[in-house]
Amino acid sequence: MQRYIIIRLFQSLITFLVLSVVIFVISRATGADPVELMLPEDAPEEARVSMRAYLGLDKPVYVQYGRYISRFLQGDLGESIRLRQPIVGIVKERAANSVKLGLSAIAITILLGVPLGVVAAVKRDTIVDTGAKVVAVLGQSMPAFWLGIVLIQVFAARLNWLPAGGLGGPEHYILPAFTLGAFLVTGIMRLIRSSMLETLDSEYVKLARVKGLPEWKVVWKHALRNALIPVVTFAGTYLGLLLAGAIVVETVFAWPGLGDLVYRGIAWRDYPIIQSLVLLIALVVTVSNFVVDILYAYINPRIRYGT
Amino acid sequence: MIITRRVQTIAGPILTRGGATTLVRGLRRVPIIPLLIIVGVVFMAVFADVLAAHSPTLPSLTHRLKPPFWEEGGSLSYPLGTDPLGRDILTRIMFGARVSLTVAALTLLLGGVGGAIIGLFSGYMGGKIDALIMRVADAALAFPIILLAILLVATIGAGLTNVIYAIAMVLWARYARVIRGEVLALKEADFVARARVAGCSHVRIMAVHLFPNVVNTLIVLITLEVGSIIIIEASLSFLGAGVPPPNPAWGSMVSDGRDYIVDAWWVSLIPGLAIMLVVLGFNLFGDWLRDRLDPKRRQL
Repeated sequence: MQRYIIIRLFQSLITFLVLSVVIFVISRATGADPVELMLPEDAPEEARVSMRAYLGLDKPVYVQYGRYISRFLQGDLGESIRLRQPIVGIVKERAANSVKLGLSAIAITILLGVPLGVVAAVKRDTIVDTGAKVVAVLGQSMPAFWLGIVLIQVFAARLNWLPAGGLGGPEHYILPAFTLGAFLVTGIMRLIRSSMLETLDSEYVKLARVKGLPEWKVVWKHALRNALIPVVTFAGTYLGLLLAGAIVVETVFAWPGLGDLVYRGIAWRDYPIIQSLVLLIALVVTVSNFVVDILYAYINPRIRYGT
Repeated sequence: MIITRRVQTIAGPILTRGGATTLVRGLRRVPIIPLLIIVGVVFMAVFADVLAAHSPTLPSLTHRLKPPFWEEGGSLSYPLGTDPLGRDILTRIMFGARVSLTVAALTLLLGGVGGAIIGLFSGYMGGKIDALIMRVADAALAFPIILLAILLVATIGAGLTNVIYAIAMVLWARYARVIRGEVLALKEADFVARARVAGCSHVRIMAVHLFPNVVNTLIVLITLEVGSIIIIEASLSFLGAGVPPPNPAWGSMVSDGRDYIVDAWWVSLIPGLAIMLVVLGFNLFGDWLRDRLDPKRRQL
C-alpha cells in the first residue's frame, strides 16, 4: 500500500506540473507586453529595464515559472485589476459559499441518483426502468444554465415560491443545488444501475436470497454495498463536472462563490483572477483525484497489488 | 439433460421481457427522429442565408420583444418571437447552429482524430514514450474543458478559432486513452507480427493494419461526443467566453434573455430548447451507432 501511495503521489505531482506549465504558458501568451501596459508611453528606457527586472521578466522562462509557482504555493495569488485587492482575500471570502453549494448538490445527487439507479436495476425492463432512462437521456441533453433559468422562470417568477438567486436561508439553496445536482444525477443513476445489475447477478446475492433474507435487505444492503465501488472510481470525474457546472450555475443564480468569480473575471477582463483561479482549481482537482485513488485502492485490494 | 436445460434458459429471460422494451428496441433499429433532427439542423446551418427572412445581427427597435406566433401579439413574420434588440430569434437560431456545428465538427476533427493518432502511436510504441504521453493525457483528462477554454479565451481573446483550440486541447486525451487501450491488445495479434515479418514499416503497420481496427471505436466516440461539445460551446458563450456579440450563438442567446424571463420567457427558453433538441438528437444517434458498430461498449 505504501508503495502504491508513493507511486500515485509522484504521478499526481507530474500531473500538476504539466497542468501548471500549460496554464503558465497560456497566461504569458497575451499579445501585450505587461511592461508596456504598466508604464506610460514616454517612460525612459532605464525605467523599462528596472520594471522588467522588478517583474522578473529579464530572467529565463524556467526561472519565471519557478517564481510563479512558488508564489502560488505560498498563497500569493496576485492582485485583481478591477477590485485592486489581493486575490487570496477574495477567494477566501467566496470559497465557503461554493463549498456549501457543492455539498448540497452532492447530497441531492446521492439522495436522488442512488435510489433511482437501484430501482431501475431491480425493475429492469419495466416501465420504471424505461422512464428512468428517458429522464436520464433528457437530463444529459439539457445545458445546466438553461435548466437553471427554466426553474427560476417557473418557481421564482411565476409561482413565487422560491428566491431567484443570491445567498440566504435554506430556501435559497433549493434551486441552485438542484440545478447543479441534476447535472450529476443522471450519470450516477446510470452507473449505479449497471453496477447493480452486475452485483444482483452474483453468487453472494443468490446466497443471501437462499438464506431467506428479505428482498429489501438483499438489494439495499448486500448488493448496493458492492455496487457502490465503481462509483468511487468516477468520483474524480464527477468532481471535475461539479466544478465546471458550478461556474455556470453560480452565474445563473448570482451565487457569490468562486464560479461566479470566474464569470466576473471574464466580464471584467480581469486576467489575474481567471489565471489564479484556474491554477487553484487544477490543484484541487489533482489533490482530490489522488485522494480518490488512494481510497479506491483501500476499498479494492486488487488495485494496490496490481501496480 | 442438455435439452431440458436449454428449455429452461429460454423460458426464463424471454417471459420476463416486457412488451414496452420490445417496442423500444424495434424503434431503435432505425433512429428516424434523431436522424431528422440532425439532418434538419445541418440543413438550417448550411442554408441559413437563404432560409432566414431577417438579419441575424441588425437591431430593429420597433420590433423589440415580439412574442412567438401562437402567443397573443405574435405574428408569423417572427415565428419564434424577437429578442430585446428586435432581432428574429428563429434567424438567430439558424445562424447560431452554424457556430455550434462548426465548433463541434472542427474540435472533433482536431481533438478526436488527433487524439486517436496520438493514442495509436503511444500504444504501438510503448515504453517511455507511452508512459510520458499517458501522464500528459491524465493531466488533460483531470481538467474541466470549460476552464481551460475560459483561460485561453480570456487571455488570448474571444473568437471561434480560440474556442476550437481550447476544446481540442483537452479533448484529445480521452481519444488517446481509449484508442491506446485497443491498440495495446491489437498489437499482440498475429497479423501485426506477420506484417512486420513481411517487411512493413512501423508507420505502415499503424496506418494500414491497426487504424482500420480502431476506426469503429473512433466513429462511435466522436458521435457520442457531439452533444457534449455543443453544450460546452453553449456554456462558454453563455458565460461570455465564446463567439463575441453581436454574432449569434445559442448560449449567448439564452444569456441575453436572462433579464426578461418574467415578461418575455421566449428569449431565453426557445434557444435553450434548440440546444436540448439538437443534443438529444446527436446523443440518441450516437447510442444507436454504438450498439451497431461497437456492441461491447453498450451500456447494460
